[in-house]
Amino acid sequence: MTPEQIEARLRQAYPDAKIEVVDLTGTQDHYQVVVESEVFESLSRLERQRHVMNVFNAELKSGEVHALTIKAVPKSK
Amino acid sequence: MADVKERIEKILNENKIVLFMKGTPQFPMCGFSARACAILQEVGVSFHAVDVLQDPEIREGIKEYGNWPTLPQLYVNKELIGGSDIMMEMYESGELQEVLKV
Repeated sequence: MTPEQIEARLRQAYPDAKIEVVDLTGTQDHYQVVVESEVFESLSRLERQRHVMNVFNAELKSGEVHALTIKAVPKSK
Repeated sequence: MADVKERIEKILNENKIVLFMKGTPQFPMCGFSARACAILQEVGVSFHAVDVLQDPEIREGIKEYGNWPTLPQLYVNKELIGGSDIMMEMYESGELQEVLKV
């Protein structure tokens, strides 16, 4: 997946979010994403991570995205 | 599947702090597992490491067990704390040090 595809997918899932995508290795399979959204407000840390991982469930399973570092931050209203 | 669940529960019952990881603390085989070990070593706790690369059944089973798709995974007192991102966040905020005081 390209960084643009990653960002587009996140944008779709979290329309309100502040999003940052970094390709850590330049190989388009190790990414770091920072997502700041109101959705995370009421969720625990585990649930926030799960929430973002679910967005890339298929790619993580297939190995197309091998490594995803996630920072899911609640955005205060 | 029932068997692997029992095996995982046995490990969690016998060890308060368990890290399911790729490789060993001496020779981690993945950057995230290396980071998880480094954090635990920095906190200074001893932990039980399970090398899932040596055990395909646990490697798949642990993902189902805690409904968590990636490795490493840290369990404290039989409870899933999270992977290396969560460990790092909690370490930086001081929460991990509290959780590990078991």
